[in-house]
Formats: sequence, C-alpha cells, structure tokens
Amino acid sequence: MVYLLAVAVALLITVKPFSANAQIAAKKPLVVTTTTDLAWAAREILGDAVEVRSLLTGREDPHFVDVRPDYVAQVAQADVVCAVGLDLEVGWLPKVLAKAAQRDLQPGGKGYCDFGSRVDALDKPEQAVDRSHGDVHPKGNPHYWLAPVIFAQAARQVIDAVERVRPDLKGKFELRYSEFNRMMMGLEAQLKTRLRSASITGGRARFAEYHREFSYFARSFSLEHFGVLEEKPGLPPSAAQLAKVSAQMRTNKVHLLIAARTAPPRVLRKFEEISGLTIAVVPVSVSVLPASDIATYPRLMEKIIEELIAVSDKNSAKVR
Amino acid sequence: MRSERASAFALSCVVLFFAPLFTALADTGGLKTFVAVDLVGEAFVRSKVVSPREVEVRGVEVYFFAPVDPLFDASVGIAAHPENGVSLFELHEATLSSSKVIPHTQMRIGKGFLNIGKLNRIHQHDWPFIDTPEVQRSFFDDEGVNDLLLEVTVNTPTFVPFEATVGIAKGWVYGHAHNAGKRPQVPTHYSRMQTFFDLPRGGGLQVAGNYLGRTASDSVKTQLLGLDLTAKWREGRTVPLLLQSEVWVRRVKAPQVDRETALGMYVFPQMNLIEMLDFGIRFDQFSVLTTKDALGKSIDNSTYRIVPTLTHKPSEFSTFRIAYAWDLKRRGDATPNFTNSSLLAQMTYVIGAHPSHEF
Repeated sequence: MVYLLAVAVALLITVKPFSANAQIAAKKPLVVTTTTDLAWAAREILGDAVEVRSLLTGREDPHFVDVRPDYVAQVAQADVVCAVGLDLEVGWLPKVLAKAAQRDLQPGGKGYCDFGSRVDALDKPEQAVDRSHGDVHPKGNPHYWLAPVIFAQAARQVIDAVERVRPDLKGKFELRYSEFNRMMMGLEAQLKTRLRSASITGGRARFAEYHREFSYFARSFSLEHFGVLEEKPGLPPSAAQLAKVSAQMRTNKVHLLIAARTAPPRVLRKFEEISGLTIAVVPVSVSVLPASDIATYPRLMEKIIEELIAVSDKNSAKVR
Repeated sequence: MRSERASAFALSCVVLFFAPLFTALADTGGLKTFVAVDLVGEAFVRSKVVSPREVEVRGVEVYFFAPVDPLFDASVGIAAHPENGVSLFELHEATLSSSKVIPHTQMRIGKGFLNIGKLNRIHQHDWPFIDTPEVQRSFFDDEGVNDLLLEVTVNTPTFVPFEATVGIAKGWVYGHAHNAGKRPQVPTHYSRMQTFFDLPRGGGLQVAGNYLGRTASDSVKTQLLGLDLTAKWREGRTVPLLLQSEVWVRRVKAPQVDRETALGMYVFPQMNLIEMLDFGIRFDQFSVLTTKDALGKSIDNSTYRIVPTLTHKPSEFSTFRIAYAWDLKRRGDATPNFTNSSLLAQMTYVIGAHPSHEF
C-alpha cells in the first residue's frame, strides 16, 4: 500500500500544474488539428489570436495512423480539436480523444470541429457497404482539401469552434476569413489558368489515380476522372489489375496517372514497368518537416500542378 | 465443477441467443459489437512430454460496447477458451468507464484486464506473435490478469507525454481461475507510469514502468516490477519496424520459506518485408534467480525460447501467422540444450466494429 500512496502523491504533483495550464490557455486558445493542411488554414484564418498545432507532419497517410501518446498529450492541452472528418481519421482519432479525456473535445463537444461537416461529399456509396468492398468511406470521399474553394468553405468550421470556446473572440475573424476565402478562390483560378495553358488540357484532360483521392481536385480543375488503379479502396492492386488498367488507359489514350506519395512505391514501380508511363507521384499534404518545399498550402497546390504538367508532357512525348 | 459448467453453458446460450438482438439494436443505442476468432495450431517436431499435434480455437471473444449516458461508456466482453476439451463462454470484461468526468482522467470500474505491462493490456488475438512468452505465462497466467477492479489513468497535458495508472483489484484470485478464491490480506494493487519519445523518421518509443503487489490469504506476498517498451515506425498501412519487449522481476515470499526471485523477459523485433508480410523473431528468457544446488550455491536454471515468425496481414481485421519455436534449457554452467521444437500456425479474424488499438 506504501507504493499506492507514493503513486497518489506523484499524481497530485502531476495534476497540480493543470490549473496553471488552464490559465495560460484562457489567454490564447490552442487549436490542435489532425492534418497539416487544416493547421495551415486555421493559422491563416485565426492569425496570432490563437496557437495552432498539427498532430501529423504531412508525411503520414491519415487513413493509417497509430494512437501515439504524444498525440494524446497534445490534444489534452487543446481548447479546440479540428478533424478532416468524413471518417478519414476514424481509425485513430476517437481513441486519441478518449484518452485525452477532455469532455469538450469529444465529437459534439463545443471544442470539437469537423471541417468535413460543411462539405457536400462526393463518391458517397449508393448501397450499403461492408469490408468486402475494401476501405470504403461510408460518408463519402474525405479528400476535399485538394480543392481550394471547397477547402476554404470547410475551414469556416474552425471559427465557429473557437468562438464557442471563447465567446469573447466572437466576430474577430470575419475579415480574415473573407480575405482567406478570396485568396483561395484566386489560387484556384490561377492554377486552373496554368493547367489550361499547359499541354495537359486541350479541353478536359483525363487522368487515372491510384486511390480515389483526387475527385474534388478533378472537379475544381476541370480534369476528367478515368479510373482507379486500386481494385478495392485501401488494398494494393494485383498484377492483373495493373495490367488491366494499363491496357484500358492505352486504348483510351489516357496518359496521366496520379498517386499520393503515401501510395505503395513497389506497386507504382510495377505499373510504370507494365504501362511504360511515368506516374505523377504528388504530395497531398502540407509538410512541416524541416527543409520541406511544401510548407504552405498554396505551395503544395502549385507543386501538384507542376508535377502533373511535367509528367503529362513526359508521357505525351513517350506515346507520340 | 458441474454447476460451473452448467452456468458457463447457460451463458453461452444467452450470448448466442441475444447477440443478433444486440446487433439489431445497435442503430438505436450506439451499441457496437465485434467478434474476434483466434485459431491456433501447434505441431511438435521434437518433444518428449507433449502430444505431437494440436489445432484448436484458442479464443472467441464477443464484445459489446456503447455509451451509457453523456458521461459514461460501458463494455461487456465474453470469451470462450478451450478447457478440458470444451469451449464455453465466460465473462472477461464488464466495465463502466468515463473520460468525461475529470479532465485528463480516465476511470474504469468493473471486471477487466489490468492496465499493466504490454501483453496484459491487449487481447490475445492482437498480439504480434502466436504463442505466449514464458514470462507472461508464469507471471500473468497466460492471457493476462483479469479481476474486478477500480482503475484511474491520468494523462498529463505536458510537453513530454506522461500517463499514470493506479488501480486496485479484488484479488481473491490471481490470473485465470474458476473458483471464488479467498479474501487476500492485501488486495491486488498496481500502477503503470508511461512516457513517450519521438524518434527520427516518424518513429515513436513508448516506455513504461509497472508495479503489481498482492498478499494472499495464506500470507504469500507477491511483488512484480516490470518495464515494457514499444518502438514503432509506420509508413501508411505498413509498419517497417516494430520492437516490443517486456522485462519483469517477481519476488514471492511465503512464511517460513526463503524469498523466491524470478526474472523473465522477451524481445520481439519485427520488420516489414513487403506490403502485407512481416518477419519477426522473438527471444524469451526466464530464470528463477534464487535456485540453489544441494550445497547452497546459486545455480543457473534459465530457459530460452527463440521464435521466428512470419505474419501475413491482408487487412487490419485478419492475420495469418506461421512460426517455428525452439526451446532451450540451461542447467548450471553447461551450454543451453534444445529441449523441444515446434511448428506454430495462427489465423485470426475480426468481424464487427473493433475499436482502435493502443500504440
């Protein structure tokens, strides 16, 4: 029992600083986001009035993330937690929230902010899904942040959440949000023009993708979706599937396949061998890692467009 | 024994009868269910003492969990294990928990596995290898210590993650028992202090110190001290490198008998070969440190086990494993001798809504 007493004393010492932390938090709310893209948007919209941190660094695949204790510790300090939503983080975020044990940060709580709840989701399954269909998102495609205007609309959620936990900040972010919205519309228009002027779009260019994560992107940038390399979402395709998609692309003169950097490299290499095409392997999240060249969202989107144009030119030259 | 079997049989009938009903109600009360099946086979290639071949369903676990109200969640877990050739369901878990009452604090009350060590906190079907390390078998009765408990876990909102658990359990029995036991002089009490370090290239290292103590009704005092460690690197669906290890020391003091000290550990490094295929090798060691020969001189009686394991994981809900285990024993200063070797195979699958795993 002596050990129990020692542990209880240790706990008391640990718990005491909570009140101090709470006072600090009351001055400047801490917004913790799951992904770097949400963190970038939150910083742009909220400015210096809040502190923003992201759990992920931009190198992870947000579908497959471990319940790391450092995530729990960060969420435990937060006043607001923002998620991409549409079940993208369903495999890990609920456990992180439960372990952080902050009542207001649980889904439905005043500090919980779900960007995806403002998105009119694409690719919603028309029939009931189960695991035989692969890793299908029942609420629809969660990769909306690759479409600047849709992402900007979703990002409005963070203002609502911060104002709920800090009513004294109500109305302080409207101007910044309007500017943010305008900037995102400008970014989309500018990148669209860039794509149009490149050889990639002689009308509506068609592309295939490794995983269905460019649906919103395609809609925003007037690209036509041709197909998906994965046979079932979340499962690496078989050699037969690679050959099938390759043949279909050749027959239909589709020369562009886009994959996120988190896609399995071995499968992508195999597809390149079979098809003779170069795959556009692009980043899909802002990276906060040191020496990253995609530290901001506009730079991320520019990088994607640059990569698509470069690969498209290369593949067009190959098939000519 | 007969009444026990009858009650277990009755519980099995209740489970099978009501499971579809619970599932049907899931949409209205937020009730989620999952069933995990763990099929294990072992064929002894060289053994003098055990039967040569055996394949069995090691466990079928049925879990129900849901919020009870805005503050509390509840879970009920019923598991069937083969005992004396028959698999009957028994209650594994019936807890009420909350992470919404006190900030940064999770509370759990009811029957469940103690939040201590690494393997003791994970269902057997989720272990990264097939068989049970000797340290787990000897100190935690194979699957783990399960009891009626009251447990509090605090996560500190600090720069360095820190999680502290303290708990007290009824302690009338220890481990897997099918009797009521006797009132202990000191009930089972335990604590776990865990921290975490960021590692380069997206890795993480979780380290925890553990303590468990109990004094049984017959004045036998047991103390366990342990360290568990998990290092993991993840890239998308795959885990390129995993390192899991536990080291435990147990001291047992019975009246009029010298104190017995035993040391046990396992180390399991695993690497990803290709997308769904992992290879790991486990090294176990177990020794009773206080064993003496007729002259009173300490004698080494260590046992070792080496288990290379190949894991195929087509999804997070199914696993296929094959392993080969070598058992070695050392006596005195002699070189360790091989005693048994066996081929192991495992298949696990989960249907339903399995909650997220710990790190």
